[in-house]
Parts: sequence; C-alpha cells; structure tokens
Amino acid sequence: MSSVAARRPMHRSALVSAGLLGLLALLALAAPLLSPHSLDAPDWQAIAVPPTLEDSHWFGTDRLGRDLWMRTWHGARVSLLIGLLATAVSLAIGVIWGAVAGYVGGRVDALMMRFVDVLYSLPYVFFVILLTVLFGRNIVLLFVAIGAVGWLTMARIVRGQTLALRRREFVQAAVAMGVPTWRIVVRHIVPNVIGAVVVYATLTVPQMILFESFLSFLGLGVQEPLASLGNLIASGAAEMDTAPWMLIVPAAVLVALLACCSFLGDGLRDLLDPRG
Amino acid sequence: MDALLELRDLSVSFDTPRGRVHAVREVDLDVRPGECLGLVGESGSGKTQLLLAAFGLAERSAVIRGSARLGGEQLLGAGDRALESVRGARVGFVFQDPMASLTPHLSIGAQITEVLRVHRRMSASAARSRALELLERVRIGDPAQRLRQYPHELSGGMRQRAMLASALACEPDLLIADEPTTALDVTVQAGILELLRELKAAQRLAIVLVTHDFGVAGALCDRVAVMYAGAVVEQGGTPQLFAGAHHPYTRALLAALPRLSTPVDAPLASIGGSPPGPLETLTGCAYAPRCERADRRCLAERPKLAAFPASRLAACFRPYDA
Repeated sequence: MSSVAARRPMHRSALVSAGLLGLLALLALAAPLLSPHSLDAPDWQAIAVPPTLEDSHWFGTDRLGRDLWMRTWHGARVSLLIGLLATAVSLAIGVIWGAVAGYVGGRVDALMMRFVDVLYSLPYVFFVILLTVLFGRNIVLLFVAIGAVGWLTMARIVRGQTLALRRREFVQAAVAMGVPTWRIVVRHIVPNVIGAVVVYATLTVPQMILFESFLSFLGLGVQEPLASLGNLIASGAAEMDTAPWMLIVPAAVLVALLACCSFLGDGLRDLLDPRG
Repeated sequence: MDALLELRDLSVSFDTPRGRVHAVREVDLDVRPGECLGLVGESGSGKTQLLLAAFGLAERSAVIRGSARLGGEQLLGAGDRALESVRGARVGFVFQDPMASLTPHLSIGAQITEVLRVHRRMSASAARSRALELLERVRIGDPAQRLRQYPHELSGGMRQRAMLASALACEPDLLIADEPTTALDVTVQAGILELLRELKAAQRLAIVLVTHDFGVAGALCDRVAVMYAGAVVEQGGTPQLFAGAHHPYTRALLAALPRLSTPVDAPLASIGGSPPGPLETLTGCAYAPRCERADRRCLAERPKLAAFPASRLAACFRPYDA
C-alpha cells in the first residue's frame, strides 16, 4: 500500500475523510474518559437540557437526564463495531465463496452461484428481521446476521475476478508446477482480487452502519439502556419539536461517519484502479 | 532402452456446438531418458495440446483417449493428487511467455521456494538456499538480489531463466519446454538454448522442446518429431532428418527455412494452401491436398507411421528417399 500511495497522491477528500474518520473513532473510544458522566445514570439536576458547557453536558441530556455526549459516542462505537465486524464477516464468506466458485467452475460454480441468486431474491430487510426475531436481540448475532446476508455482492465480485484470473498464464503455470488447488486459490488468486475487495469493503462499512441504525431505529437492533446511533435517533425523533438537539446530535455524527467512509472508499477505488 | 515418457494412440478432441474438433489424432511418441526430442509443427498442429493432455493440463472439456505413461506409470485417468505430485516434481514445465507465466505479486524467491515446499516439504530456509543455488545454476547474476525481486523487475530472458529454475527445482527427469524462446529476442534466445544444452548434459535431463522453428530444434535436439494436423508425420534423428526427409511435408518445411545462401531478392519459399480445419473429418492423408506427390491413394486412405532405415518413421505412401 505504501508504494501505491507514494506513486500517486490520494484525493484530498479521501485524505480528509480518513483523518476525520480517525478522529471520530478516537472520540468513540475515548469520550468516556473526557466526561464525568456515565452512560445510563440520570442527572436529576439536568433533565432535557440543550447542549451546554455547564455540568459538562456538551451535547445536552435526554428526557431522562442521561448525558448525550456519552450516549452519542457510545452509539458511534457500537455502529463502527457493527460496521466493521459485519463487513469482516461478509468479506470472509464472500471472498472464499466467490474464489472457490470461480476457480473450481463447472457444476460446483453453477450450484454455488444459484444459491447466491436465491439469497439475493429474498427481501434483505425481512430476512434480517426474521433472524433477529429468531436469535433474540443480541448485538453479536445482529452483526453476524447482517454480515451473513451482506456477502452476496462480495461473492459475485470475487467470482468474476477469479474467472478472469483462472485463465491467466501464471495460474496455469502454477498448476503445471503441481501446486495444489487450495494453495493456488489462496496464494495466486486471492491476493490479485484484493484491490477490488478492499474498495468494495470500504463501501460496505457505511452500508452496514446504516443498516444497523435502521434496525435499531425500528427497535430490532441495539436495546436500551445501551445506546446506538439508531435508537438515539429514534428517541430523538420523538422529541424533535421540543428538544431538537436530541435528534440533531446523533444524526450529525451518523452522517459524518457515513460520509467519511464513502469518500474514503471512493478515494481508494480511484487509487487502486487507475482505469476507474 | 525403456522410454521415460511413452504416449500411445493419444487423441485429444473437443466437442463444440459446431461438431467435434480433433486437436490430436492417435499419436505414438517416446521420449528416452536424457534425450532431447523436438516437437515441430505449425500453430494448431496439436503440439501443445498433446503434451498438456498427457499431464492432465488440458481443458476440462477435452476428450482424451489413449495412453500416456511416465516411467511406466499411467497418467491418463490418474487422480488430481497423483498428477499434482508428478507435475513440478518429476516433470517440469516452461512456457512460451515468461512475462505472463510468473505470478506478478509474488517475488521470484517465493515462486521457486513454493515448488520446493509443496513437493519436497522443505523448510523455508532450506528452500531459500536451494533457490539461491538454482538461480546460480540457470546463470542469473546477483541471485540473492533476484530472489527478493518481483517479476516486473526482471528482463524477459531473466524471467525465463527464473521459470527454468522453478521447473528444475525438484530435479525432474523430464522438462517440457513449450516454445521457450519464442517470446524472446534472438540473442537472449541463444542464451536460453545454450543453458538448456548445458542442463541436459549436466544432469541427464530429458527435454521435450516444442517449437515451430526448425532452427531452434536443430540447435538442441537429438531427435525431431514433425506434427501436422494433430498427427506425427515423421520422426527421426536430427542430422538424418535435416540431411533428407522422407515425408514431403518435412521436406517443404525444411525448404521454407531461409538460409544465408539464398539470394536476397529470391522470394521466400512457402507451402501453398493451408492445413485442414480441425472440424474436418479426414479420409486420406491430411497433407495430401497440399502435397505435390499425392496420388489417388493418398486422398482415399490414411497413411500410418512406417519404419524407414536408421530407425526413422514416416507416415507417407509416396515418401522421398533419404
């Protein structure tokens, strides 16, 4: 990567996004250290106060007097975690599935890809809702569920690239050297598709974050008293008329997070694929 | 002497929507230990398909019939595992395009050691020192540095030498070199041929050299087999073949070689017409329509390889005298 970066300057927007994303992640991790308040203890002296420097309620408090600075950053942490883990799950399944289908080819390929088509045709939201109902409301299961459905496009991308690579001479040469199939896939094919995969993965993270927020907004995701950006926005939306900061603060953090991820993905795509 | 590689009645065909394509038709061929056999023919004459099929490297859709034995062991129909343990260990391959045959994201060292680690189960450090030795053997300058470099950092000739190093890593008995010099310029080509000759002499390595260039075959090979339309039409020792071929096709090919003695303004010799399409079913000799000696029998009946003096073989009803 360093040699790629040295060759061509990255988009300014992507660099700024990367910096901002780092800052957001740092805040999500370190915010509790900065604030005297806790995640779920109400401050009876400050019920539903707007953002203020007094009492260190920098983002204000909610209807129960809980500190929004704490809750928002905790929510951001949950969102980032789910975004990254769900992407990792979809990456692992998608790359292996796609590479095997593409390399082995023939009937195996047809069978594996028809399975993907069937999953594609299931309504995604409905499917995840079904899974969360089935497994209960558990954060770990939530991102496994999201990732387990999110790998389909990844598998298709990797399969397409693998099909093209399989015919290349260096793969044929490896076969002629007696390198076993699994080793060819792992050492000669997968590293070649990593460019496309990295780009798609960075674009998947915001999708996953958005999806988690959506589920939490519906009440199917992260549950009170834990905070996620989704359920903060949901409760903020209910107070929109009288206490707009309860909506604006978590929504702004969510938007910043998503925008940064998307810009970073775009920048990476331009960087790794000059033909773009 | 027992043959190292023994191909019998080997046919390769492909079923396509337009009919069955015959790439190789009933080829018999022996390669003895330590000898160099040149496989000469035009593009599409089936040279490459023949060898790919023998080692299980043909396309999955290929229909392969006949027998291929390496050291007595049947290769056709052998399992993937068995073939994997043969390829790279007992037979090495070098292909035409060294630019494309090396994996771009792996260093030269990684690619040579991979063969050793897969077949010999060597440790990383043992494989590395062996790779260093191999690079020296194929005469690559500054081998320690080259091990760390990636294919795009090497010249074409060096890449082909690196390919050779990995093909020879496990000390195979047989090296299949498929047009190893075609993609290289003439001086580099000479260097590679010289290296092959040295390797052959030094370790009793049998080489099958696939080429469309009689000059290349003549420079290196003990024996030459000429292929036309998927079949071997003539076989014999290189000097005898060059001195006087029995088969009219071999004669025409040899006559088409430009020589320094040909006058500059003389037109280059060529063979009229073109080889039969792979979809055609042949009734007579495949070369008959282009052959100046062909008669009615040549068009009606297919000649088999027949023995000629000095252990030569030719498939022709109206051969030339040597």
